[in-house]
This record gives sequence, structure tokens and C-alpha cells, in this order.
Amino acid sequence: MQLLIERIARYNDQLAFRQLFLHFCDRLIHFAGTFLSSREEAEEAVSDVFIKLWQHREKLPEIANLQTYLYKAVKNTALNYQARIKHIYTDIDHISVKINAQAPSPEEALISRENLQQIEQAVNRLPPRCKLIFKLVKEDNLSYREVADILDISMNTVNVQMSIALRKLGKAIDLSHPPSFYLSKK
Amino acid sequence: MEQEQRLWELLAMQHSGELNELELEELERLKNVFPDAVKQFNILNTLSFNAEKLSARRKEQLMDGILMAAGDAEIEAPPGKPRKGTLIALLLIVLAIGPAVGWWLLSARRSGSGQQEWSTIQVRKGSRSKVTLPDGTVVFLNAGSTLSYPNDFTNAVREVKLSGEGYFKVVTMAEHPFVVYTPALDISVLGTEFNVRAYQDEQQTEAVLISGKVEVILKDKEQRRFTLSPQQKVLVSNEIRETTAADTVMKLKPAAKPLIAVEKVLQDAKDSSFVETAWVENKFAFRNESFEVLAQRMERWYDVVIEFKNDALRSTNFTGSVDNESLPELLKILQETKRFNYTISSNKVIFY
Repeated sequence: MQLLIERIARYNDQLAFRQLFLHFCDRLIHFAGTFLSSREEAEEAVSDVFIKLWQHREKLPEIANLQTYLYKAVKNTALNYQARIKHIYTDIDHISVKINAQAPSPEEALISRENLQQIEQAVNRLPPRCKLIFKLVKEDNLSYREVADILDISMNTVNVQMSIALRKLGKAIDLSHPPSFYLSKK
Repeated sequence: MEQEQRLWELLAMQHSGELNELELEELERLKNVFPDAVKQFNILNTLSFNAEKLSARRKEQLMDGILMAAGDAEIEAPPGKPRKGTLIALLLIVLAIGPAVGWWLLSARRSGSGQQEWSTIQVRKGSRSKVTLPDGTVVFLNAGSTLSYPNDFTNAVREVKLSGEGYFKVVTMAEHPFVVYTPALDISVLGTEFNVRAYQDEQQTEAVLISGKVEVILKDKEQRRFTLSPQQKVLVSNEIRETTAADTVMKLKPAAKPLIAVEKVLQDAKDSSFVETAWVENKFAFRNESFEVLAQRMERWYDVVIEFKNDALRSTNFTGSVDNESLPELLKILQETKRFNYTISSNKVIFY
């Protein structure tokens, strides 16, 4: 990552910039989608952030944590759009990203396919804010501190929301009917 | 019940490594009380969660839009804040009308009207770039290269001039052949993918065809033409300009490099890549390349100046590939095959 940043900032390397974009775009577009009503708007918000990033590329090395910087920039841009488009969301309580759960592989799965689907439904039924935090931690691999920083909330809130999510999803895991091979192993 | 809730809280906190000793003890105690919750937590941890991903094509479109908007805004914007919202809107319309028209709008603004005005794109040493031409053709440009094209790209023949190295993905337009001009040879195509390496500080110009069909026109006195088949490459000496067909045969000294050579390009068995086009993927790859030529390429790739204090090194051959590595890392890898020493100070490298 550091090398990519240097290539962009020092050598105006468009290919490096492209790589950077590809690395982050899926996550950032989903993230933007939690504040905006359409995918097009989400793409536009992320594009805007990257346009500014390219125009001020010489300052890239000064950014301490590029990852959280990008999430925050996307959030602010998306919130500005909300004001512009006059969609009234008072909170981040609008989230439309559907999340799929995946077991490592059929052999290693400790739960049945039906149960996996139930968990998936449980994720998508989580309260919006809780789901967003869970997604940032589990899918985007952000630390609690980074999530707190990006969303401007306390570490404690992240903790509480994560424990709610984990508990609800944990409860959805069916321990009484493990898949047949799991039994045969015993 | 409340105790179990506390267990989930502690499990969640454990993830962030925020537990103190007392809490850790508490966690261990609660784990024993609620073994099922622990099992559920462990299974949950084996699952991965993914949201839907964008198509690669859509990502490319977005990226092109970003670079276009960023570049355009730079030229247009007065010192104040550019209005990006409008630019994106304009860009989307432009894409909807068609890239050709869009480019026409942009280039018209850049250099005004005028019949045979050419736009030039220069890529600095140490850098690489990707451009989309008005017809949708995509060109990757390697370090230290220059590409020019007429602002009016609607001519019968789509022509570009290249100095340096470019990888072309030409959009098929049957009635508009696409021609790349270089000092030693021209390449004429209808639609295909190929790589051209025509650095004037190198001894030869090289064209590699990946797919489709291209016609190569030599810049010798007879302007000889021949076609290249996929996965073939042609190597032409940059001294070809002064020669005739007879010279190609007659003047050939036993040890001298031929003026023209057509070779099959070797495909990597593992990932079916080609050394000649690896740079497009940001790889610095070389097969059986002399240190002398390699050093020239390193000068461009890393934007350094290289000097040999030991001339015997120049003819040493190397084969290898590095991915995004820094210059010292690359040199370390080379040193594993051949013993040599070097010093680096600011932008100068000396081999001895």
C-alpha cells in the first residue's frame, strides 16, 4: 500500500491509482449505499472522493490512515448528497446492502445449508446501524477503533452493537441438527 | 440470562483486544457456564460475509470517468474549488452520447479548432499511464513514452505516433484502420491487441501480437510489408531506415544481430502471460535479457541513472520477474544469480 501511495504521489502513476481504486471500490460503494438511496448515487459519491484524491495526490503520503480517511470522505460526501437531494434520513438508519454468508467449504462447514440461509436472513434483519457496524468489522475487516472513528461514535457503542449482532446471529446457529458428516466424524 | 448477555459482550470486546485481566477471568468463567454459546460463537467466526460486488467492467468505467473528470477539472478549474457535481453529470452525458463525441468536446476545449492539430501524451520515467482514445481504443503507456494522435480522430485512418512502449487494445472499426507509426516500422490493424516497444535509445524496435492480425510496414527503402500472426513478435533494428532487402541478407555478419527477426513469443506455462506485456500488469519481467538492456529499462522504470564501472557485466543475461518491488529489492534478486556490487546515491546507480 505504501508503495502504491508513493507511486501515485511521486510519479503520477495512473496504474497505481487504478489499483488503489479497485482495492477499495466495492467496500466504499456499499458503504456509501448505506447513506444514499440508489447505487448510482453511491457510485457517484465514491467517484467524487477519488477525483479529489487524484487532484490532490501529492498530499497522499500525509494521510496517516488512508483506509479510514477514505471511509470518512465517502461518508461526508454521501451526507452532503443527502442534503442536496433533500432525501431526509435523520440517521444512518437506511441500509440496503444485502449480505451473503459463506462457510469456508462444504467439508469444513459445521452447519447445514438451510441453517446458513437462516443466518443470512438474521444478518439482513439486524437493526440498520447494528448491521452496518457488523459489516464494517466482519466484511471490511476494520478494527473497532477504525469503525468508531469513521462513524463518529464511541468505542463503547461499537462494542455494544457488535455484541448484539454476535448474540443474535449466534442464536441463529442451530446446534441440535449438525450436518450428517459432522455426526459421522464423531 | 443477563449473564449470557454479558458473555456475548465480552466475546465482542475480545475481538478488539480491549479486555483487562479481570474481564478475561470473567470471560473464562462464563464460557464454562454457557458452552453452547461458545460453540455458536466459534462457528460464527468460521463464516465469511460478503455483499454483492460490482462487475469488473463497471469498475473500469468508473475509473475512466474519475480520471477524465479529474484531469478535466484540473485544466478548467480556476484556483477556487471546482464544481465536481457538474463535471460528473457532464461526464455521464458524454459517456451516453459516445466516447468519440466526448473526447471531441474535451480536446476541442484543450487546443481550440484547427485541422491537423495533434495531442500528445507524455509519460515520465518511473511512471506508467493508461489512455482511452476517442474511438474507445485503450493504450497502456510504459515509462518514458510519448503518444500523439490527431485531435480530429474521425479521419479515414486512425493514426497515432509512438515513441517508447505501448500496449494497444484497438477497437474494431472495419472502415477505419488503426495505424501506429514508429521510426523503424508502422503497424496497421483493424482491431486487435498488441504491444509495441520503440524506444529510440534501444537498438531495435519490437512488436508483439497477442490476438487478431496486424500488418507491419518496414521503414526500409522498399517499405516492405508482412503480416504477423498471434503470439509472434517481430524485432527490427533501428538502423533499418538506410537499408534495402538485399542488405538484410548480404550484410549479415555472423555474430551481428539480424536487421529483422520474427520469433514466436514464449507464454508462461503457469499463468499464460508474456514477458513482453507483463509491464501492463505492473510487473517488471525479463527473459534472457542482457544487463545492458535491462539497465536501460530500469532507468525508465525506476527513474534512475545507471552507470557500469565493470563492462563485463553488460553482457550478463538475466531472467526473472518482479511485482511492484523497489529497485534495491530487484537488485537483490539479480545478485542471487550473478555476483556484482552496486552503490545507490539519490538517483544514480553504479554497478561494479
